[in-house]
Amino acid sequence: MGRFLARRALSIFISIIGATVVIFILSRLGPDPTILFIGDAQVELSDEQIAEIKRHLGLDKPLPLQYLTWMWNLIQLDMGQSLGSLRPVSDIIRDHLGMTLKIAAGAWIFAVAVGLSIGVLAAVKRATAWDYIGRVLALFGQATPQFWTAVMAILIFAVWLRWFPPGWSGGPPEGTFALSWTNIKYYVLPCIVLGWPASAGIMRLTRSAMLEILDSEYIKLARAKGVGPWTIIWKHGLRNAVIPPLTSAFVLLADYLNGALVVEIVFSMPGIGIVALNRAVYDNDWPLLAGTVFCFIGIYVFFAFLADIAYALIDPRIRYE
Amino acid sequence: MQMTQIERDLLGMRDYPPVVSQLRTVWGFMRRWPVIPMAVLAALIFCGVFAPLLATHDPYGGQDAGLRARHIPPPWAPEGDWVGTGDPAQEATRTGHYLGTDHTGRDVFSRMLFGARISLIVAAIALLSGFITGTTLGIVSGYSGGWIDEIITRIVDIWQALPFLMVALVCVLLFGQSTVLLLALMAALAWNPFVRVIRSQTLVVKNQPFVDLARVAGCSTIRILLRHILPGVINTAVVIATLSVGSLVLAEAALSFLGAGVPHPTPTWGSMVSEGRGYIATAWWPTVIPGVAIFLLVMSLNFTGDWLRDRLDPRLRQLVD
Repeated sequence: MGRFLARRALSIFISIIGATVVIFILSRLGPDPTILFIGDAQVELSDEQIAEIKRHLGLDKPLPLQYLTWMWNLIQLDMGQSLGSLRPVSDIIRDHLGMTLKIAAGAWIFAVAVGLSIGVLAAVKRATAWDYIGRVLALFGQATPQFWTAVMAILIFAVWLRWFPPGWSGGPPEGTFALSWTNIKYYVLPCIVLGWPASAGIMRLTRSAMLEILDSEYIKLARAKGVGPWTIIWKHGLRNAVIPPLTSAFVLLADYLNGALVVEIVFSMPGIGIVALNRAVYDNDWPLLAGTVFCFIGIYVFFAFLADIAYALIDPRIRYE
Repeated sequence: MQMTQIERDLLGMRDYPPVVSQLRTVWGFMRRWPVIPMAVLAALIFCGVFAPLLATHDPYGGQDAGLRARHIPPPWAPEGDWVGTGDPAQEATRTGHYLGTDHTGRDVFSRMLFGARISLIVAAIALLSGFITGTTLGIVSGYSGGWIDEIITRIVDIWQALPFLMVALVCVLLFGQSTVLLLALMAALAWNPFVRVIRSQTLVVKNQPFVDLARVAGCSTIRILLRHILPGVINTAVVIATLSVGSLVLAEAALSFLGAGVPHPTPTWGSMVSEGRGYIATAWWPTVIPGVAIFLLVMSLNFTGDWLRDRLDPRLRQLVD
C-alpha cells in the first residue's frame, strides 16, 4: 500500500507541475504579459516606465526562473493581488470557495443517493416501469446541457411554481441556521441540476454491476437456501455491486468543478466560478484568474487522489497492478 | 417452409392479427436499427446544410427585426395569436415566425437553422482532429512502449487535470474571442478520450502472431502501424468517436453560453439560451427551443454511439460505459 501511495503521489505531483506549466506557457503565448498585469489603464506609459513595471513584476528574468518564482509563491499561497479590487487573490478565493464546495457536496449527495437507489431498482425490477423510468432519467441527464437544465429549473420551479428562489440574490438573511429550510432552499435547485448528469452515470453503472451480480452463482446459492429477497438484494447484491459506482463517484466529484462554474452563473451563486468569470475574465484580472484556475486544478487532483485511495482500499488487486 | 400448428406452438410462435404482426415487425426493426436517432440526425444535418435556403428571415435581424417585432410567440404556443390583429401592416411582421422571435425581434427559426450549422461544423472538425491525433498517439504509445509510452500517458493525465471551461476562459482572455480559438479549444478537448482505449487495444493487437510475422517479413515500422495495427483498432476508434461526439456538442454549447464560442452575432444554440434566459419569465421560446435542439442532437448521437458500440465492439461496454 505504501509503495502504491508513493507512486500515485508522484504521478499527481507530475500532473500538477504539468498543468501549471500549461497555464504558465499559455499566459506567455498571449499578448505581452505586462499589458495583462497593467490591465486596461488608459495611460500612456514611457518605455522606461514599462521596463520598470517589467522589472517590478519579475518579467525581465528568464522564463524558467519566472515559472519557479510563480510556483514558489503559489506554494506559499501567495497568488498575488487582484487587479480589480486590490485584495490578495488568496483572500478572495477563500471567501468564495465555500459556496462552490457546498454546491458540489450537495450535488454529490444527490447524485449518489438517486443514482444508487434507482440503479438498484432498475436492476431488480428489470424491464418494468422502474427500469424505463431510470433509463429515461439517465437519457435526459446525459444529453441536456447543464446551463439549459438550470434555466428550465428556474422557469418551472421558481417562476411558475414558486417553490424555490430563482437565484441567490442576497441569499438567506444573516444568521440563518445552516440546516433550516430558509437556508437550504437556495441550494436545492443548483445541487439537483449539477448532480443530475452524474446520477445518470452512477445509475447506469449500478444497474449493470447489480445485474451481473444478481446473475452470479453465490446469489443463486443464497436463493436456493432460502434467503429472503431483501437480504439478497441489500446484503449479497448491493455490497458487491457498489464498488464501481462509488469509485467513479469520486472522480465525478472532481468533474463537478466544470459544471459548478455554469450552475453558479445561472443561479448567480457567489462561488469561485462566478468570481473567475465576472471579475477575472470580464475585467482582465489576470492574477485572480490564474489563482482560480490553480485552485480548480488543485481540487481536481486532490479528489482524483482520494478516488485512487478509495479504489485501492476497496479492491486490493489495484495496488499490485 | 410450411409449418404445422404443433411446430409453431412448440417454437412459441403465435398467430397475431395482421396489424399487430406488422407493428411487431416495425417495432423489431426499430429495436435493431437506430431509426429514430438517425432520422433526427439526418433532419438536423439537412437543416444545417440548407440553412440559407430554409431560413424564412435574416438570422441577424435585418429590416423586419427590431423592438416592434420583439418576443412574438410561435403561432402554435398557448400565447400565440392564430387569428391575428386584423391590421395588415402588423400582420406582415407578426406572422411567419414558426418559432417566434427573440428579444430583439430576430426570427428564432432562422437562427436555429444557422445555429445547427455551427454546432455540427464545430463538432465535426473537433471530432476529426481528435480522432486523428488521439488514434495516432494511442497507437504510437501502445506500440512503442518505453519512455515514449510513459510521456504520452503522462500528457493525457495532465490534460485531464486541467479544468476545461476555465482554461477556455483563460484562452479567450489572452487571445481574444474567435472562431479559430474555439476550434483549437474543441480540438484540444477531443483527442483525450481516444488515447487510453486505443493504447490498450494496440497492446492486444501488437502481440498477435501476424504482427511478428510482418516484422520477420521485413515490414517497416510505419507499414506495420498502418497496415497491421490500424485496421485492428479502427473499429474501436470509430465507436469512441460516436460516443464522445455528444459531449463535444455539449462542450461547444457550454462555451457559447459562457461567451467563449463563435463571436457575436453569429447565432449558436448556446448563445441563444444565454441571451434569452434573462427574459425567460415573459418569453420562454427563445430559451427553451435551442435547449431542446441540443438535447435532441446529443441524444441521437448517444443512441447511435451505443448502437454502434454494441455492433462493432461489445467489449467496450466495460471501458466506456
